Amino acid sequence: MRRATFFVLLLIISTPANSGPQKRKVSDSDLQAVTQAVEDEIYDYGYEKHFYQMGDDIGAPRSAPQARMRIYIEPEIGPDESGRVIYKLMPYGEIVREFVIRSNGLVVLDADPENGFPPTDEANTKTVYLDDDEVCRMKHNWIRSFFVVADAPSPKMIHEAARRQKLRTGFSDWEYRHSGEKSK
Amino acid sequence: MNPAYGRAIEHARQNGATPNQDAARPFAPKDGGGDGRWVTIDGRHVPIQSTHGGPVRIDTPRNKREAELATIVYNETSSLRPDPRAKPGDGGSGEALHDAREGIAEIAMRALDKSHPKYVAQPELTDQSAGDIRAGNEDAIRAYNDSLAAAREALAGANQTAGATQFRLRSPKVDRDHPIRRRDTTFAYGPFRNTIGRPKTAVFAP
Repeated sequence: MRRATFFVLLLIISTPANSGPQKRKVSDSDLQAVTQAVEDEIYDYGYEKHFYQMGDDIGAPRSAPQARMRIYIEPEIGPDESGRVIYKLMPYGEIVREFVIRSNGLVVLDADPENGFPPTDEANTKTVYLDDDEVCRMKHNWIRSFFVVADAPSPKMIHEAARRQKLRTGFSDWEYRHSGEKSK
Repeated sequence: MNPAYGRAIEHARQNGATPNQDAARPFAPKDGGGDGRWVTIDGRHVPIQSTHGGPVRIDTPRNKREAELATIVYNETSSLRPDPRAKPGDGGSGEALHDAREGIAEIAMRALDKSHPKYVAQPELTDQSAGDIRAGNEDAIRAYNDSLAAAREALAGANQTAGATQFRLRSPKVDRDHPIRRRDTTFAYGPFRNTIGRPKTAVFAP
């Protein structure tokens, strides 16, 4: 009887008080979805030329460069399917940025890149505005991975990136620029 | 009431402002009907489409200074939405969002006057913002109108922030009392949810 009571108590203690959604570890598919969102935004906004001479060139010899860039991802996804990432987004520089994973698996990055990541949005800003020690700590503790930026992406790659961007946020900059609306 | 919000009101009252009374918002936007039309915002010609639920008209700035300040406030806050469950006077209400915008307008104006334009968002509409407004997105138009109203109040001399020079949009994970560059925060509004569901609190410091 005593032993049964002990196990019941142990069960109660070990059950989280809040039985709602908890943090979870970043999975490989999360990682892929985040890097795809980062790459798609770069192609959709046409930022790829700003990555010239950045990172390691993993393109074939005598072909257009492909920049392999570091990316750091917070190792836990929050209960609301959100997380943070640090990477270099040219021409702005290194940034920290929040993201949300949608139920369809697509990752949506927070903030409009054309605003230039000023210091006023603490969760989406250039890392130069953050405390150096904090940035070092995050980079040390977060998951390290890579994304790749092709200097000369094929039209198909750009179309696919723009299509996914539209799915994510309802807006594609590539589509906007090519609709003729911007020049009005 | 959110204590920080109450503190903000008290600060503002001590400085002669009444941030939560309609009389303090002579430029507050009023929704109205109208057909699709063209407007010019900061040099961009933007056609506004009629929308299904009754069109929301976009207010047009009266001069370049208003246009720049309104666009900065819009770029900083266009993704924020009031908490639909918040009552007037609550930290996340529509009133609080307007007051946050007015505070941001005051600080942006001070930053521009001190030649620090990079401290705040750019004074031009981004492609996405222009696209949203052109498409007649009512949330975007309301956000723009509210930003313009906030800019007009700041330009008219409002000092709701008691001379503050810094603000941050902060995750509620970070204490709203956490200093900004070693300066204690004095005001806070929110949290508001942004368009991708992330909560943000606007905090202000001297």
